[in-house]
Amino acid sequence: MKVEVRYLLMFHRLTGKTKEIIELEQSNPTVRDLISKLGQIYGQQIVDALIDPKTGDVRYTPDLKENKKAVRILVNGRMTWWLNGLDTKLKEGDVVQLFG
Amino acid sequence: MRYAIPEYILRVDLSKQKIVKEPLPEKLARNFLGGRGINAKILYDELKPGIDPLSPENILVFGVGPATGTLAPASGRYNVSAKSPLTNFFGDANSGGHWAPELRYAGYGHIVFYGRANKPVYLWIDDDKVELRDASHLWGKDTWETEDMLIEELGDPEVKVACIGPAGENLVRFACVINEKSRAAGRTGMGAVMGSKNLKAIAVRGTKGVEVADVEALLNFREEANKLIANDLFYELYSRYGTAGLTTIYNEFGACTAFNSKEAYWENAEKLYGEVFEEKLTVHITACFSCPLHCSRVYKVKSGPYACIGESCEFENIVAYGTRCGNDNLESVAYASTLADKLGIDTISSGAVIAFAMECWEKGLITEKDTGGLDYSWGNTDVIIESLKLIAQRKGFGNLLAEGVKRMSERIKGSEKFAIHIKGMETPAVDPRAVQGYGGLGYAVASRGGDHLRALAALGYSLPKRAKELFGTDKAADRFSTIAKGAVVKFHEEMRAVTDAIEICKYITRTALLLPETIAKLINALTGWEIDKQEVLRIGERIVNLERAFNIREGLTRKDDTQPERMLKEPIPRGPSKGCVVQLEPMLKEYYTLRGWDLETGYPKKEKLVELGLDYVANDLEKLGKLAK
Amino acid sequence: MKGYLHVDLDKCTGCRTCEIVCSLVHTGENNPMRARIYVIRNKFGVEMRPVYCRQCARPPCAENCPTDAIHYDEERAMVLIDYDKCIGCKICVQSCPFGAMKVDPVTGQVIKCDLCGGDPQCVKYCIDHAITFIPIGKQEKVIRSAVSKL
Repeated sequence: MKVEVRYLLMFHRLTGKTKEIIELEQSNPTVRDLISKLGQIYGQQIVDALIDPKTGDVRYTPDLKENKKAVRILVNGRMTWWLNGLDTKLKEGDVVQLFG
Repeated sequence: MRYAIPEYILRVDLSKQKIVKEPLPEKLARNFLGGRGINAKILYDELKPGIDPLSPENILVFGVGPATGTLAPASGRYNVSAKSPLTNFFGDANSGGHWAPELRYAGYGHIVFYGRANKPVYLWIDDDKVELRDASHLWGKDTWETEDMLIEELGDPEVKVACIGPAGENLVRFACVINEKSRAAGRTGMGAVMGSKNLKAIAVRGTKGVEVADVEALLNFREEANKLIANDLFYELYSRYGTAGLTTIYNEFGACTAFNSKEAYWENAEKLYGEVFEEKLTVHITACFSCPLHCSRVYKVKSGPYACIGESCEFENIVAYGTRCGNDNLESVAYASTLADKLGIDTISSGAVIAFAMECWEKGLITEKDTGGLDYSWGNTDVIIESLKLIAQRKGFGNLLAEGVKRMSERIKGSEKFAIHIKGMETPAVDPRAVQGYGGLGYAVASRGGDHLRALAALGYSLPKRAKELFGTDKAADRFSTIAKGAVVKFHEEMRAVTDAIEICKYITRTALLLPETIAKLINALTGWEIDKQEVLRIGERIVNLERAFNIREGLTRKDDTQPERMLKEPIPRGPSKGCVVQLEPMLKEYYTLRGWDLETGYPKKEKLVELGLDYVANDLEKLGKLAK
Repeated sequence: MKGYLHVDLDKCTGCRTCEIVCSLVHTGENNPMRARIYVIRNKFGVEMRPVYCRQCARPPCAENCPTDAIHYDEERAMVLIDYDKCIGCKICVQSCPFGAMKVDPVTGQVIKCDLCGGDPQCVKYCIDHAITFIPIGKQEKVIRSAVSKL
């Protein structure tokens, strides 16, 4: 199953790309699955930027102590906050935007 | 002992060539802070209602505030206010750079211009020495030439110049004031008011200092502020990509004005994204005075037909000359942006009038006969650039464009339905249908017309956690929902009024330093007052209500607090915000109720004005029959 | 701590925060005219150049001073002014090849960077680290990055 990932701003810097098609093996993949796939490609750094280990959720707020910025994940232009967070289901052709 | 408040107000009668320097009372500052706040107070108190904004009866005020020129972050701002020739309501624009601190260091808080000079003049402020000088040799020059000539003439490279270009001289209704070649007090046609007064420029050199009440507290505040700003969600966007980065965000949101608001998402906008701008055009990152965010950049198109150099090609410019006109050629956008600065034209309004003409062209409402042979097809880059030149000179079709969208639509039959303006001012780059609070309600109620900066309700779409703390529901930050948007817009309007009045930038206070307790801390460090967050909000509310009263006196009613028909009735056709329209009524109702304004007329209620210490304003409105029962 | 200021011209945005911080900590006033550092800004020549004392080991300001009021203090690696000896002739202002010596418009005295006694405050408030303080003996990193740009 394929989704389009758009790397905006900080994520453009981290990946060097503006967008790409990512293929996910799972039958019912979620945003969490996508992030772990991105981790395989770009390393743990991108996972740390996106997920706050303290909440186990998206880094909605910055961590001043760890010097980590807040980020936003959008699925088809809608922030994951309004969807199902990291468990938001992805379907063929979805556009996932990462920005921060 | 009085701290941080500027010492003097300058009153300049251009008709009589008379300059009076008078002390700025601390009490005035205590109630209205400075900048936009005191500007509004001066205009409300001194301007006769119903006058023609381009007549000598209009009053033009420049103002800085208690933060100006200090270590307060981004303290390089000033406001220019007058009755607007674009809207016939309260006109006001804010600009950054280094001009404002220079005025502050000369010891002045506000300059109030009356009348009209009988020939072109400029005001030269050299600390205590203030004089009107002949500007005949500058008339007709663009803003860059004017600044270069003045600095040469006055012999000091640190002289800062705010001036108008040909557009202001020719009374283009959306002409702006430009300082340091690239910073614009852009909106509501303040450049035209300057032009109508035969005032070409204000050149300033100030060498005095600003004393603050608590040096230690100010140093600490700035240290903390830097930390908050550097870790803000938007820091990387602004500091690395400049506001050009917003092109990326808003198009991905499906909230990017395109094709005169027929669309809110455009695939080709990717060619205009912040990342592309940075890679192709940015040559150096620059900042306004004392700013840790540095969203400005010098850009350069090295060769080709659009070769140019300039500073601050903002998100608004990229949308205005880019997506709004169906143009995906970034180099042409940068060129148009530099040209607008030189000519002294507001980029948002000028992009909007060109886009409006393009839709009229597409629909066959205007033809080559009207345009003098120019082809207004979508994306015609040459015609965008040519239009700017014609507008500034009011030549040919440019004479109609120079009137703004509202007046154009009154003359082009059948075009009212897609005339994108509020209260006569063209709306900015973010499509209000896709962001209900920020755009839908925010633009509709802004005192200066179709404008995003009065409310700049950034929290209303980006920070759900913070929204929940402040408004009791995270839905306050849901851009598609109307829930709590009245409260969101009111809160942001109060805070924007305060930051405009102390004169620090809206971008650092956008989300990072948004909270009233933070701003109270800053005000107290500067002035030595002991005000709390409630008082900060109250001062903001006072300024908003005074501007409201100004507008009510000029004839504004509830029906003016609205959106263009397209925004209310035509759903966004494609993209991530597909199907959205502005759901204005429920938001407006909540907003009016919270404001203490009458639901039917939009007039303020007596109790509200009295509560804010504006009793005399209530009396004025009562006499006019414009006070809500 | 012994050290000197280092400026990365690519990073300087010309915001002049250093000027205000400097005047504030030295004079208690927000006034760039009284700052010991200032930025020459030429935006369309794309140059933002902070001007400040280089703490020269053989300072031209000292060599030309008629009253020996200025000397290089080896222990602190800093050029110091003895105001008891200074007659205010401003020859030092003319002598400095960097333009780093100024006249305070309020006191009339010549002023220069004193590195805030070893903890320069301009460095602390420069959010982009355009100005850094390089402790002597630890300049290697700077030199390496300079070399890599050649």
